Amino acid sequence: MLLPAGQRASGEWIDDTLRARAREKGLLARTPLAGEFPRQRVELIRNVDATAEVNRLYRARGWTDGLPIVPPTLGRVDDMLAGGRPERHVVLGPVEPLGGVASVEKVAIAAVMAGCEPVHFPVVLAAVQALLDPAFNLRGVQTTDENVAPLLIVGGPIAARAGVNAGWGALGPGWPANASIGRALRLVMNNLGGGWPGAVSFAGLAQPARYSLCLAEREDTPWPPLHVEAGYRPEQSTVTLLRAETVINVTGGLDEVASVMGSAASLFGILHSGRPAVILSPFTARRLAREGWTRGDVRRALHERGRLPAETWRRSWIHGAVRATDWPAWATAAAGSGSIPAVREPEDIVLVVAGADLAIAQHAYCPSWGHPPCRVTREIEEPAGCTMAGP
Amino acid sequence: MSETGRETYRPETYRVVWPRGAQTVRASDVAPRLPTLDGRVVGQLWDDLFRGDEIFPILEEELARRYPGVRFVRYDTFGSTHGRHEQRVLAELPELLRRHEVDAVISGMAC
Amino acid sequence: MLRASAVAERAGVPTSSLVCEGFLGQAATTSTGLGLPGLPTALVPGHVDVQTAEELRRNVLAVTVDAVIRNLTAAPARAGGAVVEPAATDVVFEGSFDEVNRFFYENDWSDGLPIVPPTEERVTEFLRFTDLPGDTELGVLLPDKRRATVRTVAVNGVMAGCRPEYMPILVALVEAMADTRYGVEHSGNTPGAETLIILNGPLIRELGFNYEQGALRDGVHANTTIGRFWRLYLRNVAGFLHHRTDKGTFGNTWRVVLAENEDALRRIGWTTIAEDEGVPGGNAVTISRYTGGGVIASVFGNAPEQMLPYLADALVGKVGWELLFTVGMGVGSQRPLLILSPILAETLARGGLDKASLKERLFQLARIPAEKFEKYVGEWTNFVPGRPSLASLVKSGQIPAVFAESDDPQRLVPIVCRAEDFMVAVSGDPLRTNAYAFAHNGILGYPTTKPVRLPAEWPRLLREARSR
Repeated sequence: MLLPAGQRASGEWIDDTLRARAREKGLLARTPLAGEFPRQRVELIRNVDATAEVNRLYRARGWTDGLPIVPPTLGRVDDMLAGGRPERHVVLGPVEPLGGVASVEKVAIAAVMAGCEPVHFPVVLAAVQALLDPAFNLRGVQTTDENVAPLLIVGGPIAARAGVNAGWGALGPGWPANASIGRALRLVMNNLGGGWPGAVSFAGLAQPARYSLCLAEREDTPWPPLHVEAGYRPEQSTVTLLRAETVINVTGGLDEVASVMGSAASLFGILHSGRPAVILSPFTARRLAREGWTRGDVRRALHERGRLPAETWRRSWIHGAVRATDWPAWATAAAGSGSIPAVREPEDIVLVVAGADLAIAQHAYCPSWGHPPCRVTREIEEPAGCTMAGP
Repeated sequence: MSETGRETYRPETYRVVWPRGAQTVRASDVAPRLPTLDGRVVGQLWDDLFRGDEIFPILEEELARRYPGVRFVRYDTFGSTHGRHEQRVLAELPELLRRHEVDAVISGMAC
Repeated sequence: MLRASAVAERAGVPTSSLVCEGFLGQAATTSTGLGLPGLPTALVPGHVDVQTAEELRRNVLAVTVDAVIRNLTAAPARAGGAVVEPAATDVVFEGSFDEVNRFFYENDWSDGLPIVPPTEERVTEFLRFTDLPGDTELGVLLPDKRRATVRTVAVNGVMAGCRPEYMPILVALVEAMADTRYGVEHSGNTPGAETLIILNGPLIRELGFNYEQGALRDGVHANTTIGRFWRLYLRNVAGFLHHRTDKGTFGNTWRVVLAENEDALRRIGWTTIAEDEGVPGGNAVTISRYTGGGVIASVFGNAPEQMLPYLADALVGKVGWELLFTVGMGVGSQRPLLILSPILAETLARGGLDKASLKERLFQLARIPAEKFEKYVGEWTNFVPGRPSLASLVKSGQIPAVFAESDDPQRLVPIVCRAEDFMVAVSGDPLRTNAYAFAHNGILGYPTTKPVRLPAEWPRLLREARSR
């Protein structure tokens, strides 16, 4: 088994720090074997039921998300890396906050554990690169008491080839790519970054999206795809990474979405001039496009109509908790005229078309949390000379 | 022995020890950083490789533009950090840094 | 370069280390061994050698300047605690031969060939062949700054397939590796040079080393396994690993130990390499690093003046960019090695030459036009900053006057600073008129000789070993 634990560039293993933190917080019961593993690249597990034994050990060491993992054998990790251009020892960077180094090999280990297939790996790699972008503020995401989760949006031809679902139940269970790619990201955050709940991550409740929050944009949108709008060529594929404070389901149309945006749900986003996501139903998108709306028009409409009443803002807990000078100038000015848009500019809204094509249109609003404003996009690079077969 | 007279072959098991040496180093913290480079003395250390002689002037020019009053102590003051005299240069370095009142160092080139 | 940064940090001065893209991983790993995790680096995008001046300027302004400022002004991460690793006698694994090998290989403790499982019994047997206690520290090796103990020498000797009686040689080799004169820390450098071990003394015969036909080839136990031991030790205790601390573009594999033909030397009255390097009489190992070499085949002639031009030309042909070590990095540290077969040595000796006068003749004959010399270290490689001419280096007193006896760019100049810089060994098929020339990596693997210390009971131990 290849060991998934994080090792800092200076040689220390982050699990030593994690064990100490867990003990301080009285959380060792969750991870009784924290830090107890051979400090090398591989270990051998012998057992009649090796998979069960690996799971028992890894759970006790704190290396899982609570669900069973796929043991990262040498063979499985080699398969995950086969044909990959980045060589396995290439370093992507230290993962905050504890700084375990994300080498391509360590990321592959996480991907195997999460249940990824090799075809998912290029997406996972791009997602980890996005995660390590300083703009994403991974340290903040990992250690805050807020319940924020990374939101991964996959766009371009690789989405379909890797099987990332953009249709029915795209945010829910049942789609292996969506589930395992997001999960791999979480395992990287947990095992290399050390974001252990209660010990390093102080999110009071967290949220189910921390297991995985990953989907693709529909290919049949009436508008140019998200990655093309971001400046990439149609034949390129990208991941877009956002900080989602939560996922709010909205049934109806634009006005309903706007009303949710113009609520207390957007307070953190306003405070940090953040970039929220709006996942628009394909039904609504098609109808609007037929009426001549562009993506920009939709964003402008949401910016215009999705406004938080100034009074609600003033009476909010956050308003009382932070200094007046912490609010951005645009928000304070807008409050002066009676209501505050959820974002500073329409362009700050990341508008994605996904979900099933239903007349009872299902949308989602993912308010943003944290600074700096972030919308990180990374190209997904396919291994050279490799045609990715679909699942 | 089995009935056919052939012994069953059991591969030997080996209990093996570690081939590496014990680490001697305890990681220590780096020196405290400066609040700003304004009015500070910046030393240059160079190993005589990889176009440091072109890169250092570019850095000097740009840093001087951003930080008025910044001064530079050039690399020839200290000697090559990767030559025959490397060990001597490194041994003399702390005293030279002190003597020239160097507040920060830019060290190149690792390629 | 990072070592200089570490010294500055320890003196209380914050640093920013300029690092090209391809070096980033190695920089992070090297900082560990220096005891300064979080030694901050400022990226210089791409590799500087292939950029135009405009591109370099753009890249430095776009990326490097901000990183330098950050390195010097932003608070760094605090260092963490010590790493927990196995104790010397801990059993780290139990398994079959195949399992041990796979386990060692996947943990980066093996070179990919099968290793002999290092059991405590085998290690103990090796320790009998030295009077030094197992925890004797022979040195601390860069880059990983791990302790090179007598015990770890035994463990890696077992793994390499050595016999216990080779232990005194292995200990001497690690003493040489740990000597700062050698410069083990350069063993992962980009040119990827490889060490050659030269053995002198009665041990050559006592332990059955090959010193005749195929002297540089695998196939004889002592020469082969000890050569393998060297690189295993570099891997496991010095800490050189592919794609991490080892940045050799191509590299080579371990060289078998070269034993000199001391019968031939005695016959013609020539000194041994060890004697030339100042360690007279008895058993000694000499280590030095070479980027490569080649056979000088069919050296024709029955007198020195017929043979030497060809030999000298071969030495010139091998040296190339390593002229840098003659006039630039580590002035005068370039020490090419010429290996003569016994018949060639005998012919030269009959012509009146000993090693010293042979080196003098080579110094006169192994010459290159000054203009070409300057191209090797200037225009083609940009190795000597400012690309000074040989004349200006002579003028500033950095190199001997022989390099600028006139202005003529076609004047012939030597490839080393002094005749004594050449090294000459005698080995190989005694009756073949072939020689071998090695190109030397200068200060990055400088010739270092150590005597081999035998245990007090050596004669008895050797007898027991022979009757095994």
